[in-house]
Amino acid sequence: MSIEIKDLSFTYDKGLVFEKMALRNVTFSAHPGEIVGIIGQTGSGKSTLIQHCNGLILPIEPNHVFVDDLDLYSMKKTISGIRKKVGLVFQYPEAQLFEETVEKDVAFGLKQENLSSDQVRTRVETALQTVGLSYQQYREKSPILLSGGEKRRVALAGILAMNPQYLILDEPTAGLDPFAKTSLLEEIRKINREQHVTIIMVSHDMDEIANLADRIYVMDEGTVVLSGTPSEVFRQYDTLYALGLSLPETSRLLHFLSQSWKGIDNSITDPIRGAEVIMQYMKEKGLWN
Amino acid sequence: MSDFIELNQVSFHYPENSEQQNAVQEIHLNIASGEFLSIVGANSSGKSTLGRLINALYIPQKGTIHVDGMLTSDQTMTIPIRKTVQMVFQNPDNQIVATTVEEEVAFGPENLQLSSEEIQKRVSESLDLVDLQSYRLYPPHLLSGGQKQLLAIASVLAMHPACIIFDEPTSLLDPVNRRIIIQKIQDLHHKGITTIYITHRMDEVLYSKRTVVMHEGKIVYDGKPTDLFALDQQKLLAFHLYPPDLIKTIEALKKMGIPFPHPITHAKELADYLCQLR
Amino acid sequence: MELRRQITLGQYVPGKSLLHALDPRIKLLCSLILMVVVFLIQSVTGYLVLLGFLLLLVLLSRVPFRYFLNGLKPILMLVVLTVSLQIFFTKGTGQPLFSWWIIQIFQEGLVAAVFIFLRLILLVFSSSLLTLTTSPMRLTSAIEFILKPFSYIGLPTAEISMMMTIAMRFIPTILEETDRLIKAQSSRGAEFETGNMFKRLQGLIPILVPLFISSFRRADDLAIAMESRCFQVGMKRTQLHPLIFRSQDFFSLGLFIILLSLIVIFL
Repeated sequence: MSIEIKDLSFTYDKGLVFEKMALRNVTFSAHPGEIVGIIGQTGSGKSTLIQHCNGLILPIEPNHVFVDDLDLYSMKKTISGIRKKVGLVFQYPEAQLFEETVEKDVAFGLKQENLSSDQVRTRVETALQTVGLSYQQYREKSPILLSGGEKRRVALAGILAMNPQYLILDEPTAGLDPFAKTSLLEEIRKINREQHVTIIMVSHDMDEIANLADRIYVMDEGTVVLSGTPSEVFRQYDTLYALGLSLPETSRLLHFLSQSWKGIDNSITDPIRGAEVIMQYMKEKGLWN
Repeated sequence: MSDFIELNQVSFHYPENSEQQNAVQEIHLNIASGEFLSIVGANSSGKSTLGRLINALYIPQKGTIHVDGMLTSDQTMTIPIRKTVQMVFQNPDNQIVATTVEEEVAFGPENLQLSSEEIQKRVSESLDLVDLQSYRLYPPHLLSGGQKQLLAIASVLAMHPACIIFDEPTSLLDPVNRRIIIQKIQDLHHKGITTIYITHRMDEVLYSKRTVVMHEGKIVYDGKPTDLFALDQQKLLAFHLYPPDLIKTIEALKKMGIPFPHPITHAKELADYLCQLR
Repeated sequence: MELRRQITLGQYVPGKSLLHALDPRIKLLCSLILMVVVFLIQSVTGYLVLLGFLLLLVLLSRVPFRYFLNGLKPILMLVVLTVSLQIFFTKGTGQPLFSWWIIQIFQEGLVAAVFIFLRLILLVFSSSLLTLTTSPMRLTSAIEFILKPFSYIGLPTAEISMMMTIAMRFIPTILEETDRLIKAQSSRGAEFETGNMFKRLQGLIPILVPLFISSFRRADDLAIAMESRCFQVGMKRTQLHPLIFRSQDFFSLGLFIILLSLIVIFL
């Protein structure tokens, strides 16, 4: 039970002048209960990869894309089933809100499922609660008149209401101020831990990936360049730097320090822990009393 | 001796706001020519509104704003004020009107009724300043987000302003493009342009020498960015300010007894400093 | 499938040919004259000479011929339909050339079909000559110039021109946005390809409503950005590349009119 992508390649506009190879032999997986992070520059193929996960782009050959052991190659007619299982939230999802009320918009994805109005109501209520919005307070409001952060939560609730087993988030905190960012990340963590939803998160923000992800894939020009746990990946400073990607501040600091201070643990990403590690090192080596 | 930009007891509410709730209140702020000032705060703190008050896009109901001696509420001064203070907005797409790069840069000078020769000169100069000369005939939709912002900056430079207000210019950009824009803004500041940089990102605040923090429409701090983060953590949180990670590490080390006689803002700097401690 | 890639703005193909260099107002005028002439010609010889003349212009434009052929694609159906109608439904005098069941084809029908076919081809080529060699920006300036006299009776020609420019500027951007919306709503289970007419129209709501909302927001932001750069409605503006007539333009126009008059008079 997982999303498995094996040796996947994909070219946009094949045969035309615009032809572009977006993915080259990519292997990727997301196992139940995990939070998987995908990082890479714009144009590295991240978008293309995640669109293969929910069938927005269907594989043109068999044996490359599997969701819960089902080959998506043969799923063209039944793709809506996959869309329920694998929820995909695009960047700036607030742009997709359109219904007159929050309740209606969150319930939009449920139209295809034959649920009673009570069941729909429960789903909407639960979804809103998960993103930190009170059902009673928000249900009648017009989505368009909400603040940016609220809109984003409503959009997320719209996907959560479909009870997906996998949730793919494309830059979920893009454009949010630090406060909204922190609380949204907390909610994502809760969704993963409490509702056992497997999360795939694309992000440019190294810090948030470092703090949330169990495993990370680093992409560049359509291929997976690095993969592993955050500690393993962020140790590869030179590779990441060459790819134009930065590290979490604390990792950078420890990387620079490790050039003179041999043996310091440079896999730490938390700033306070980093300070402790630095202090510990200095005391041990007699550099400071 | 008056300052380049002076805000005196300024209060403003949006005309369409029925309760007349002030977006900014009792703002008192002086900005000197050539300064690099950052304005930071949470999303509805009033920072964008403040920017738009300065270049006369909005007029305050109370108080006065003077730009190089000109009063913003004086309608005859609107054009001269906007020639002096220009603005680059947050959304790269929503500030571009023309179908090619060069036409876009020409838009402002065309509004000023300059001669074709002068317009062409300014277009060339501005495109050089942002390294977009080779993209002259490109339609805007083929540019990346960062290039669009560079185009916006070039369009503003073609007005020959003495001051540029940047309203969250990087918040919709990816890290690579963000760096490019910030570098360009620093370059322009070194060339003498008074720079007002509005942001909600704490790490960007460190590029400026003076920071103004806004909270619920009021100025709650005006001073050095590094001193800001030395303040009480609870206070910072109350203003929705999250110190950048590096600053957190430095503050933690300070608590453990390490002295920091000079402000440090970069990871390499900090590493070098720690390595030579005895 | 990315919508954006499929639509080239105004079909303009940049180049340095004689035709590209001509003043757009002259080109616009010539196109209009050409379209009138197409309907004035009465003989097949006349049409063939005109066609030859246009092909010469196509050569002069140095735009690859396939672009002109592409221009025929959208009206292919129309051409086939019209030609068929002429062939099968024109009643003529005398005996039919071909008769089968209720279908009768007369010589007049064939002649009319040929005429109509030639006219359609010539019209498309004429307008393609204009749009392939003139950038949307220059075309808009030309239209603004032509509309200028109407400004004296109150028509806001400068504003109309600005609206056209902004519309052209945002077409690709809005297409991109539509692409994204289709993907996002599809991920929520929205269906766009199935169902009857009514269902499909309903399916457009999740796309159209957000597009409208963001367009209004865009308009607001754009207005502020324009004002910030000293734009004021109704005021006079200068131009980066002002349209200036040169002797070549008048010379070309003169030659053009003479040649066409000759064709019309003698053929």
